[in-house]
Amino acid sequence: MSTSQEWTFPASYAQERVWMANQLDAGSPVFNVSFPWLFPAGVDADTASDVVNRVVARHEALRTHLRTDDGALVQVVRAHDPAPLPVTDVTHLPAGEQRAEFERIRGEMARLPVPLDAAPLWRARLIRMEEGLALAFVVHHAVFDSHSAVLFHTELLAFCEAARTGAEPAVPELPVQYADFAVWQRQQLTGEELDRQLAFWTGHLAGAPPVTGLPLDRPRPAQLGFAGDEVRFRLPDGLLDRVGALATGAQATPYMVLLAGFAALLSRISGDADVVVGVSTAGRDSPELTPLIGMFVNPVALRCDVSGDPTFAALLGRVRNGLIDAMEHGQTPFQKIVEAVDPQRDPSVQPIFQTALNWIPDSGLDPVELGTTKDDLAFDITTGDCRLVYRTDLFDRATAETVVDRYVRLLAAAVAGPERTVGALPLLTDAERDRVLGAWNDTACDVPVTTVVDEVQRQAAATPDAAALVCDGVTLGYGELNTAANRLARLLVARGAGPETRVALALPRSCDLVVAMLAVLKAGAAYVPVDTAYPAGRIAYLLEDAAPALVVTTPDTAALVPGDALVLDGEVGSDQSGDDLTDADRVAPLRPEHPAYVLYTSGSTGRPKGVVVEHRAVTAYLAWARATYPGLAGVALLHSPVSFDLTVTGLLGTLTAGGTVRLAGIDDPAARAGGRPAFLKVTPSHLPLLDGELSPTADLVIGGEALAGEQLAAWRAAHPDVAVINEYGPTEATVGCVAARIAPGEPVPAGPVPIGTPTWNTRALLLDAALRPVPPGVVGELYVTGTQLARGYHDRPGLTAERFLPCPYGPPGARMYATGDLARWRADGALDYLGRRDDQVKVRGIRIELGEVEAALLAHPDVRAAAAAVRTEGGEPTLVGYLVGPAHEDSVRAELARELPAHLVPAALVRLDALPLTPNGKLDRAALPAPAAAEPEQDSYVAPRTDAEGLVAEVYAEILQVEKVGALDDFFALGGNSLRGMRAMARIRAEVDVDLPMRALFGSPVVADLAAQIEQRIAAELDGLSDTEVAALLAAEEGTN
Amino acid sequence: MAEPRFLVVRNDEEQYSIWSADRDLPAGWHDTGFAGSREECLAHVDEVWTDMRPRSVREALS
Repeated sequence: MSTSQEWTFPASYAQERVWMANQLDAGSPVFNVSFPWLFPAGVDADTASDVVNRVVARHEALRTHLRTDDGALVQVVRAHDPAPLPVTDVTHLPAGEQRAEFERIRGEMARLPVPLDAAPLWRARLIRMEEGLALAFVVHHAVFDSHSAVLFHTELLAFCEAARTGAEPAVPELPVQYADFAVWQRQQLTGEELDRQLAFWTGHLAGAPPVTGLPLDRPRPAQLGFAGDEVRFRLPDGLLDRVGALATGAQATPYMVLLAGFAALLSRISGDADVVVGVSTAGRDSPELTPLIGMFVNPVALRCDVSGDPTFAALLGRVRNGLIDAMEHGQTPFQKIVEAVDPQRDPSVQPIFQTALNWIPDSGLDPVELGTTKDDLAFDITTGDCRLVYRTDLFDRATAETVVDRYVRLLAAAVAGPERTVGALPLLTDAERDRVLGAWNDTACDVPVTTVVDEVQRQAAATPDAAALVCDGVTLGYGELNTAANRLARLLVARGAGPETRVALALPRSCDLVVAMLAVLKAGAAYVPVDTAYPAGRIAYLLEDAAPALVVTTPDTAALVPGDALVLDGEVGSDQSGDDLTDADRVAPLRPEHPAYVLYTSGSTGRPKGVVVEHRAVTAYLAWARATYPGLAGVALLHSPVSFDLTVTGLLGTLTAGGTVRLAGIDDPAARAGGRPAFLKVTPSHLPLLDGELSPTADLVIGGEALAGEQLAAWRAAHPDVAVINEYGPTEATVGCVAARIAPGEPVPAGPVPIGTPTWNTRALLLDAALRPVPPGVVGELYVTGTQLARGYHDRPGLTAERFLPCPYGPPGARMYATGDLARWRADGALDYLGRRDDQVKVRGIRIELGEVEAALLAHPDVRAAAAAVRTEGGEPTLVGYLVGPAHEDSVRAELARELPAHLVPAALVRLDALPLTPNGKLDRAALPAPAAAEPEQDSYVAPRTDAEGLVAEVYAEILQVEKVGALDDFFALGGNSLRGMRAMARIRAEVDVDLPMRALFGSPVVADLAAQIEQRIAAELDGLSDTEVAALLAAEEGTN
Repeated sequence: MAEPRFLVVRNDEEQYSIWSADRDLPAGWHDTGFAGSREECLAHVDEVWTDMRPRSVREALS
């Protein structure tokens, strides 16, 4: 060990910040700075060594390392101790391979972490090649920034030149050294001055989104690391010139233009109108700092307002003003801003900003790729090689490449036409546009335009003796069913039913119900199912709103409806002819354009509305369904109310495919009579009910709600030979308009199950707020167009006009239905469903995907069903998890904390016997109970239970100046910040000799959790010792008692 | 900022809808001459779209 003289000074804020970040993973080379340099011809190894040593002698930063003294970070400066540099001779290799060998050595050096606590914070090696002597130099960012690289090269050259000529080296005097700056900075930034600067930043960042809304390829891991990769690219020839020209004309800098382009891109991809980007300030505000090697850079956050679809020129003006403001306050140490703005930091998210753009025209890029990143996405733009560095935990390489393509395309268009609005700048390539509008929507299929009546009668004529319907122990053949329906239909016609009229069906689940539905269709009218289990008020509302020509009921349910209803008593219609009706028998001819049914759906707000669906839409869906679900030709179990359009598949699909409808409640023994059905359609909430007897043999169709792989896993494992189809479809686009088929044996990964691709002659459009197609991977609102569109809402012209819009991407005059659902295209052309647009919930400003929380809850082996909701009873929105199953809340919470980012871990967990369901089998969110009120703070005190907890609690109390700290108290909730955390960890390390990294505190800020980490690490270290060593340790321990 | 303006528009089936005034109207749709806020346009549609059957259906029945 060297015995050179050393002096200690306080660390600068920049050093402190780098040190702190480095602690998250001290074994990563993420902060290594490296660059190659070729000595001028004729310089020998001794001279080269001497030249490097002279530069080191001039700059204290190159003789500095960092250390914690009593919980405070200090920089230790050593006296210069010249040492020759090691030399590697590669001249034995063929000339063509020497450069490559140099790069290999350099890369190896660059990827080796530089520990911060041992001097010096750099490594150098001379490589002798035939073309000359090269220097491989790797230095830690804590003592070196990109301007330092420029200085370093200039000085190397100056000393080489001096050695050659014998003249004085042309290097500037250094009136101050880096440590002087650090001391000065600490004195400057205190008290009122610091408060003033922080007030600017808290104001500037108030209400800013804490996390970018960029679509991620994978959910955020609970803990951030530095794993990254980079995509290299070059800007097209001349683009930077045009960037410069636009900048000059707008009194801006090229950097501002590059930033405005980046902000526009981020806004377009994320849908956020408020975008926060990290930018770096040089931090060399005084002239005497300019010639100093050292770490001066300070990041600041640039908040860009992209709201109101500004022109690019207007956005550039906003970015320009914002950047000038930010730079004026650029000396505020970033960690101070973090503490002021985001004290309770979430270890899964980089605080304040997650994306950055650097403009480094002078120093250029190091060709060595470190495989690390500090940001989620960061552009380094130079005049030559540029790169996008990305976090591999979040993004795939293909996504990063796409981001680069989009940036270059958007920037080029913006610079060429700054008067275009941000929203009008091109985001998609022509090929992508063709894909999302064309290839992925190429659903054309020749399907005859017909009526449900024709389809059912075709089947009845073909197989009159086959069983069509089984209910209440009665089996009706196709011929019998058809005849019964014909008789009733004639009576309905006589009572005024016909095309463009409605007949309400207030009937319980029965053979009569199916007969009546077919009879209404045959009469040419539209049926309106009225669930007899509904409250009287709701029934009265439906009957008034639908204004039916006629109400059909049974003696049991007649009391629910007006007195002039047609009561089916077994005799009704028996005197009528059982032949199929012709148009001559009807009030008016029945055409495929007439409505077949009106189904009432309750939106999230307002009164229920009747969706009017025409025959041509139903038969279009049924044709697709028959081709997709072979089980429809077998027995289909129909268990849901017919007021829910999910049942159209099992009822009309089956009756037009020659299958048998088994009508029974899912908990009714009759549902199981006659063996397993071939076809079954359920909501995800039904899945836990499907045992061996109820499960279908051919097709299990799941619809009505979002489906996660976790929900399906158990059933799938028990029934590997059945196809599962995830069907998506609002009633307004007829039953199912997008579907994904999971073939038997095909694996179902955890997480949301894709909803797949559009049905025949249907197109799915994913559009942004300005109705432009969004690129694959980007969240858009789902619009549906094609033959399955409903006519509209019964007697609601305004509402119909609002939701059925002109379609800019279809044949002239076509409409598209705005589903209000969010989705995104996957790379394979399937759609991912991402929830309702109006359900986009935020907690503490962070967008929450409830599905992600629900999937994580379900991943626990003892959770059978789960839901998540954001509740606002207490004023502040709170995330609440609901679970069904034997799992204990504590174990679920611990599991979630391991798997999910902190903002996705529910603040409360509620155990239920079963999830509340609506009559349609969907989760009834309104019926989820509020969690019991949180216990008051003082009652939650749990005394430390182990020695380790005692130690951690004692250290927290001391560092945070808190009287009483319990086992369940959280360091950050008690007022801790990263600086205090550093002290706390130093204190703990002083008490127990265990290698506890800083990130342990970020990941486990609760006393009990951190104590457990300490115990685990002690145990792990003991495991690594031999028995003799353990015995010796224990003996020593006893000796001290 | 000014409230976004919408148009009341209609296709050849005489189905009504609304469309942002500063966006190109898709082919097959015609401006009915009524413009206003979103709410004003929807209220206007409620008034004028009295027969919601598509024109082809209406004509076939008459």
